[in-house]
Amino acid sequence: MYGRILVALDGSPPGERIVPWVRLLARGSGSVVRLLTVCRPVREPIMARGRAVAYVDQLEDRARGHALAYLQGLAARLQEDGIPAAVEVRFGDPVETILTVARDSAVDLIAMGTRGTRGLGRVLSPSVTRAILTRAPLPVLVARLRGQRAA
Amino acid sequence: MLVRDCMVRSVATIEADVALGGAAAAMARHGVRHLPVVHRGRVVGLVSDRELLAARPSPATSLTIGEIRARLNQIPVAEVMVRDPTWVVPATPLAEAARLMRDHALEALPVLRDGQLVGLLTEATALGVLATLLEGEPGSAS
Amino acid sequence: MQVKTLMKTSLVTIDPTATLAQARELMAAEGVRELPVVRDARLVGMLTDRDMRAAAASTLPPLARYEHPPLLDRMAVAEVMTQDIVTAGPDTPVREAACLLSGLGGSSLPVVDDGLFLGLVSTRELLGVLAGVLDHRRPAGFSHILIPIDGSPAGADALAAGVALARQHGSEMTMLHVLVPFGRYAVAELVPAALLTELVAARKAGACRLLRKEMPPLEGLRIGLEAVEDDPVQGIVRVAARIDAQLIVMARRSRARSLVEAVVRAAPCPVLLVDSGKEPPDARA
Repeated sequence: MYGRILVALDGSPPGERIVPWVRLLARGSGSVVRLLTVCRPVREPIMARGRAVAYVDQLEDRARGHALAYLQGLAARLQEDGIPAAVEVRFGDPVETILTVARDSAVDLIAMGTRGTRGLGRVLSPSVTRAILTRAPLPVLVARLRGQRAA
Repeated sequence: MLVRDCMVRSVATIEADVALGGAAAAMARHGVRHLPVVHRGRVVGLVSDRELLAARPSPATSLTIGEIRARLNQIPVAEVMVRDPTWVVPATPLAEAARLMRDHALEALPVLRDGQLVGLLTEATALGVLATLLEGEPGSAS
Repeated sequence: MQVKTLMKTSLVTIDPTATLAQARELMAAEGVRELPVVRDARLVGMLTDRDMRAAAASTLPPLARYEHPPLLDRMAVAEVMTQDIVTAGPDTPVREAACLLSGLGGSSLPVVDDGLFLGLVSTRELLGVLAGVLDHRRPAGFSHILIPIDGSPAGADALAAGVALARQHGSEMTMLHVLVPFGRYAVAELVPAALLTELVAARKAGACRLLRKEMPPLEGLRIGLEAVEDDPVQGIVRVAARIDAQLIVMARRSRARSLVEAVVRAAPCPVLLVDSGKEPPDARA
């Protein structure tokens, strides 16, 4: 029914708790899954004593590397369960990026978590979830992440 | 199979302000190693014999047994418990609960329905289910 | 399946003459809670996290100050490890390993062959096997889906999506209508108590008629109908908890967005929000 599912993850263990539900949905529906993390764009190099010690592209590469490794770990576990899974890391505004990837990859469903108002200002804030809920022209699966572990 | 199909339903719990000595006694009395810690009717933590062992002095302490007991009786379980433990609901598929325990090295999962403790799922229970499921599998007879 | 296919072999082990300090460092570095104690390739004991904690100084300041960590840290592993350990052989069935660990309460079972240490089977591997066996036995799918119904066209779209999922997953379904509690209406004060019960019952019966009208053809589906009096959000959330729903399906409508958001925040399970063909998604963020 939902042949292509886009899962928006923020790299945090609570954020991962949507994955078991996606697994349940995907196995029952024979879906393929795309795991996406949207990183904050790095605006400035890291300066120490007036000199740049890490440049924007280096920082972004590092962030992309971490995020990819994380997503690939999750994808591997899904694949072990017989669910085809691809990964993607992008930089930009979370809402715009998620919607763009959803459109470009022609997905049938977006899956994401939402956390309470106490948070670290990470990508999957309530405002991001709310924006996706209102603007996405397709169904959305949302799981409350705080206190609701693996459902 | 869901968590509710194999969770322990009558769960021994302990109040957050009970002292460590009381927690140890409760574990011994009920034959358990994990106690959900409750405060005002809500689960606020999880305490196991690991936390109690860490709190107990080593055999080489210079305190006497009496002094140890006295001090342990002044420390509430809330001070050593794991706060805000990971929990699941009765409808959680057992497979997912098993993955959760595996991935986060959890020995016990409180099961909450509507915020109320309705059960406890332990590693021991989960492994018992595995043993049962593997019975009758070709080659499983020893 | 036998233990030899599951056990981890490239493991860190520790010598019985190593100190507790070294053991602690090793456990921390490897992220493990147990260390096989091995000498000359033979297993002589297991050093667990619990053994370490029992032997170690108290972590609590009022007690810790009476300890002598330097002395403790120099103790040898051999003085603290558990020697009388249950082991498995490489051909031990996994079922037996699961039984043993379930009963013993440890987290690893050493695998030895004639005293020679081969590897460890831990609860970690066994839990993975359990998950795999469970997934394999029963086609995975949502066990119970809850669909709130309010009689609106958008609600009908949610129902259609929920029904399709229920058929695909073999799920049980509950259709729910939440009534504003009659007592909330000012006019309720004017109604004699005797009549009140009848009125509430009549409202619920009306709700069930509505639900039955919306019900899809059964064709093998198991569908339950519920009508409750409650706050609109709590009604859905409480029923979801009571029936152990694994999914709530609702329509996403700009008018009822706050209701939808409130349900998402309070639900004990994930919520699937589907488009209503009747109302375009709001373009405002």
